Amino acid sequence: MKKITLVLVAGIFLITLGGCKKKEKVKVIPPAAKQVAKTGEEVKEKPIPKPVVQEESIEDMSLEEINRKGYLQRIYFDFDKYDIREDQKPILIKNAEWLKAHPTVKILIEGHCDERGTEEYNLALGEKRAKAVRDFLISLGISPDRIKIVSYGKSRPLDPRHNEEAWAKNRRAEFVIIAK
Amino acid sequence: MRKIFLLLALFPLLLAQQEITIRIRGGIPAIRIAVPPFKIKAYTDQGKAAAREIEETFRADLAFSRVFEPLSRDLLALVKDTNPDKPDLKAWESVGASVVFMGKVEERGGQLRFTGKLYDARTKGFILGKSFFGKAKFRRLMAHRMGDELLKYFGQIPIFTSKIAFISDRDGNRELYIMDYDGMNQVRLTYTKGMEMLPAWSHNGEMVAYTSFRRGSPSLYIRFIYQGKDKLVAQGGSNITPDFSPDDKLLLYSSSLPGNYEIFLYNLRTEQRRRLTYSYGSDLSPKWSPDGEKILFSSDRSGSPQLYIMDKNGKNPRRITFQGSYNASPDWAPDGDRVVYVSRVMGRFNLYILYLSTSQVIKLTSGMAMNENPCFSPDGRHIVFSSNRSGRYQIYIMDYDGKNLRQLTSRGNNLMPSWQKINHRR
Repeated sequence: MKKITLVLVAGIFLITLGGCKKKEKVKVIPPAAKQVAKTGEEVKEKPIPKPVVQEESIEDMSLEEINRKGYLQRIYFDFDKYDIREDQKPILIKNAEWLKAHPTVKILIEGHCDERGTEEYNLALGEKRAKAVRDFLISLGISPDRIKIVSYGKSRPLDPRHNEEAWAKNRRAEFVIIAK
Repeated sequence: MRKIFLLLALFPLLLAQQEITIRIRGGIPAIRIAVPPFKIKAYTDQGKAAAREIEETFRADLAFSRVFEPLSRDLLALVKDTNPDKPDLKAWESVGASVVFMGKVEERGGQLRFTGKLYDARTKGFILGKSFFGKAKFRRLMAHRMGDELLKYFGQIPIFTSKIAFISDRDGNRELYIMDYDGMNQVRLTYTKGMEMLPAWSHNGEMVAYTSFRRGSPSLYIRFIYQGKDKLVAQGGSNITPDFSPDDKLLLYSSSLPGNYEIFLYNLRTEQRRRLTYSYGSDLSPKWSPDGEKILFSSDRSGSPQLYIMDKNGKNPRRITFQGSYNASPDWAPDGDRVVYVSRVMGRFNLYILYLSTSQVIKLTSGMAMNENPCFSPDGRHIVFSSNRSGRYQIYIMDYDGKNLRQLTSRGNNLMPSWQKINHRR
């Protein structure tokens, strides 16, 4: 009876641990869990059999590939503003959750602007946007050490056209993963 | 019926003539100069072509200057004068010339010699003689040097050999380039594959300060043009909008290192720096006054970008723009009285000039396109700027009153021009 409890406790322990580290992997590896329970050793040390991993792990991917996957979604801003819009906050919360699940990842936040400002003031505005995003992530518990910021002003528009639709797309903060 | 037709045909002619006689150029009456066809002694096709280019370049410089008013070809054709050593000055005076320039280009042993003689058509005296020689590849430089000699003789700042620094993405990413004032000889200076922006010429024509993203965040560098070397001047935060003092010993710039953009002063010799502004806004685009005593800059400390002038130690800032809610990217004219800047009115970005002595504001450009980063020529008679009026960003020059617009670039996007300043007080 005692033994069974121990196994159960250890199993739960493992699931919780694993859940923190990498949610997607845990659900599919009960066989490994039993193994760990017997020895009581650290979970992440154990090799995970490849075939049962159904979702990709960022450890096997290059930074370029990770960035192409778009785990972290960009957010948008209002004209001439740098405060985080209410409708954009859920995106940042999701991004923060992902960052918590991948604690070794470091990011660069890029601030961008639409073309309706001078080069100089758009550089300043883009920097304020990047800082606002950084501060919001820090408030959600992400360490400042993991975040760098840069402003590109209006030099890298997503949409080169000169209309409201394009401008709305170009006022944004992008997330680039720079270390995994 | 015939009479009316004749009148109609004459009317534009009369108007045109009237305009010529009353036109005032850049504060001084333009000097009416006769430049009869050059005497060309060249033996090779290359030499002939180079000689013709010297003549065309020289003519274009004079026509551009707004100091001189070259006589039209029609008027030139009225006087048959081919002896450069003994021009018929009486005849030239009779067609309205004040001065006469007799040019000669000779090809000698693989080199070209450009000789010019300037005569006074009124007093019938010889004014100035000058000769330049060199390889054919320096043909344009010879023409510009001759033009500069004429400007100097009439007490004007020599601008024809001045250069313009700018940013172009013609090869894929934004890099630093320089070119002659007339758009020729475009040379790429950086190959960083990062991003370069917002260059500023020194007065001695040997340095360009600029911002580079080559290490990720925007740092400030000085490029020593003729050594091909870079010196890192400011890093940490974003460092942009440099400006050399009239003696080239001090550099103003803006840095976001304190948390928002503030203006700093960097000493090129001691490498020490001093913070000059302490405000909650973004203080950007500092520009020395021509006498080096004041600093013009833009700040959104009042809520939106406006222009300010402060003492060179950062004290006594006072706001100078009160029209419009977005005034930025200023440049100070060499006369110290005019400021050119970008203003956003109804969502459009146009160039304006503010006269500090009278607070008068004059609009220079119009239309839907963006017009940005205006910069005065060394003599204050012309303005270089970038605009996307033709689709992509290109560099344009125009006169101080908005006339004679010319496009200087065409490949890729070309923007953020800086026209070399010349310190004539030295």
